[in-house]
Amino acid sequence: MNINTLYDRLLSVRLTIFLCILLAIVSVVGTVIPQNLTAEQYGNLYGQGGARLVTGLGLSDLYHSVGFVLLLCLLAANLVACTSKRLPGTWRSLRRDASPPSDTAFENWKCREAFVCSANVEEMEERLEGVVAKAFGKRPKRKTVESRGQVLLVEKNRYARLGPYVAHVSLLTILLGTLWGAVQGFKGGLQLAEGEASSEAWLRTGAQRVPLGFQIRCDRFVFEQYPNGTPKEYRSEVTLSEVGGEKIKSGTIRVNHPLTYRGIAFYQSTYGSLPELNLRVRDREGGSESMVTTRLNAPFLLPGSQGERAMVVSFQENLRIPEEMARITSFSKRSLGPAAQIVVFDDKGFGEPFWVFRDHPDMGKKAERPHKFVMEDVRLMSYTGLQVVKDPGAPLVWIGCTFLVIGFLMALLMDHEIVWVAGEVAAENEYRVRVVGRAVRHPGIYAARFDRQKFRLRRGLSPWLKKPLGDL
Amino acid sequence: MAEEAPGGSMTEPTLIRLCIFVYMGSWVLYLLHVAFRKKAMGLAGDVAVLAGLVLQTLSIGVRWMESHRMGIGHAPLSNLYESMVFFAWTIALIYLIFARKFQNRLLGAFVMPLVFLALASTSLMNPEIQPLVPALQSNWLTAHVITCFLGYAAFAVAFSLSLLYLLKSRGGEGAEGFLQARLPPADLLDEYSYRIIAVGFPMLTLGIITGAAWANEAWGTYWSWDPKETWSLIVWLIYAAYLHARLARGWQGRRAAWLSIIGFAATLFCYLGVNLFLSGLHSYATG
Ligand code: HEM
Repeated sequence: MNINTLYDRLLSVRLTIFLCILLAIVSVVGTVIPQNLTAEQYGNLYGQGGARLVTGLGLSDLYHSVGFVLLLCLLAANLVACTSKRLPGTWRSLRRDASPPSDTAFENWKCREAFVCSANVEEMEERLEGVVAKAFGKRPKRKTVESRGQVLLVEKNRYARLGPYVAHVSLLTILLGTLWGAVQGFKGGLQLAEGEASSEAWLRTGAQRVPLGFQIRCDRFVFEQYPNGTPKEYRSEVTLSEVGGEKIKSGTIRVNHPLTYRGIAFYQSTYGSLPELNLRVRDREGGSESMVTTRLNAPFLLPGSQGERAMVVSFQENLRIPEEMARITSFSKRSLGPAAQIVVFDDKGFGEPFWVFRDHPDMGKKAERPHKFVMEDVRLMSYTGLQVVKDPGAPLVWIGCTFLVIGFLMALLMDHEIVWVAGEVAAENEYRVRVVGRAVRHPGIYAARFDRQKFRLRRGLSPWLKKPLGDL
Repeated sequence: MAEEAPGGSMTEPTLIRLCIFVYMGSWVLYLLHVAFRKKAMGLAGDVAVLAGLVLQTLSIGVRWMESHRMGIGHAPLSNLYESMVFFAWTIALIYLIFARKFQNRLLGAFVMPLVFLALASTSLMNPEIQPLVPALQSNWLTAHVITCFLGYAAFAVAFSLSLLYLLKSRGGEGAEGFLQARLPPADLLDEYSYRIIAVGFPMLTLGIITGAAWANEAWGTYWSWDPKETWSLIVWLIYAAYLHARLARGWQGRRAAWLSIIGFAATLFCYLGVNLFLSGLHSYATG
């Protein structure tokens, strides 16, 4: 296959059909296999081999897998190739009136009609334009055709031919907006207890923070219920201020009513109670010791280290050991009290989690670790959970969506119609009016409309008509 | 408030049950019309559909007012029961608008069962008027549900037309069975099912977009590949393929009709199957 045939394939609507169907089928797979579970969860669902297959084939995050993105890219390439090939021609033909009908058009077009009138030629030539204008709801243009002399042209919705292009370019805009948002924006979270402030959000992935550029404080969190106990409203009352300074404004964040400032939007996402832990951390080698106050999923710097981070990844108010476990371990108790699971990250951002118990400071294998963690104290605080989003691509997406619908309406519900009307002297005192019409994209649908139009034309011509009205 | 009136409005489910019988009546009339070729029966069928539609509009209004009386006023489009009633309503509406143009009651005989079966299925659902949880308190919800279901209903009518097309074109040109003799030419069936999909497709597109706008306002993500979202995209892709099929030679007629049938099957799965078999953000609709 040489380059040209390859390019022709890329242009073809067949490829579009094929890609749409393929994307649909592949998408089904991702709704049947639950997405983004852990290897362990897949193991429980499909067994070890199945789990390896699912993760190996990229089915665990199908919609972001290389294959799926490639399919989307291929569809985009198909669109670009197709649009750039056809648009210039369509555009050129749009700037001109419809090209004159061929000699035989008045006998050949599927939608055609002839009316025999008895009138003198001058009167008819004078009146015809007005009659046509009334019947078609648009003033016709006079055109000269070699074989017939003057003919009238009524063209409607010529610009509807741009509909598919508007739709296709909008689709590309949406894809572009999504890409731009993914590259330039972020999605994060923030948990604030009442009275607490932060100028950073946590990213969903990894233990990274993003600076907001300003500070947000939760003044109050309100949860209301209907009398029957169904949730009615979650509301966070917040104050924004410059980092370490002036107040900017106050606002409320409710579900469906985000608060946006400087391109960063805050959404009410969760609420709950959150442990705040006081940890004593001792560097075993250096012997230094210091206190850290931290939360769940909030990385903190290890004292005395060069930028080493640790994080509390889970917390249990009262960790219970299952009975079977209690029998085979040396634990004498089954309830161990407050317990936190901590991870110390290595330079690649990985680490093995381990447990620290408030009531059993010396439990667990600690000797190998360079730091010793002791949970001094823990308090439960109620908090509001906000989703923090910056998406500079969103405006592009919404503009694309708007024009997508406009383009579809133009392409699917409007059509470029061309009607030619010619008058000719057929015999002594007999004037024949011929009319033909067609629609560029949906000829079949047009036929019924042409019937109505020709009926109106006939009514307009009725004062001169030779045959009486009614036997059309 | 909500506790004072458990079960909500009791008149509304009764009215809906009445509608089922009216729509069934119209179906019987259409069948008789087809069997005996009596014009009057076809007309009576149309009148019955209109009566059913008026009655159903009334009952939707009653439910809406009832929710306001309970102090939790909202458009009745918020749970499975309400959406199913609305689905049936839109199919009847689209059918009736379209029937005037189409002028062949065999279509009615195929469409009306969809309407009264949809309504009958609501007897399996909880008809209680429930207050809206925070995520559902959005005008986007109303816009989303209305546009989606107008699209779905158009696809339902197109599905019936495509079935008729396959019936008509079975056995080639000259074949004239009982039903075939009562159907318009195959081309026309094909053309009409295209035409109605051409109305449904922009509607579904609007439905997906308003859904995305709503998700964006509620959760800060306009697209999260949740199963319901993904299935609406699948439906959309199938009908995009259908529309392009008509531009590529060799894809008209039977193949296009099959795409339309598969498209409607996917639509039904998107609406019902996802709630029954898959889970996700839209699980509220299982009520
Ligand atoms: C999922 C993506 C796409 C959607 C939703 C879409 C949508 C549409 C719609 C609604 C129409 C009008 C159809 C009609 O009038 O029956 C159309 C026409 C068309 N599409 Fe697409 N399209 C998509 C992708 C593509 C691609 C990738 C190509 C590239 C080959 C393409 C080529 C065309 C062409 C050539 C037309 C007809 C233009 C004309 O009649 O002048 N489409 N498209």
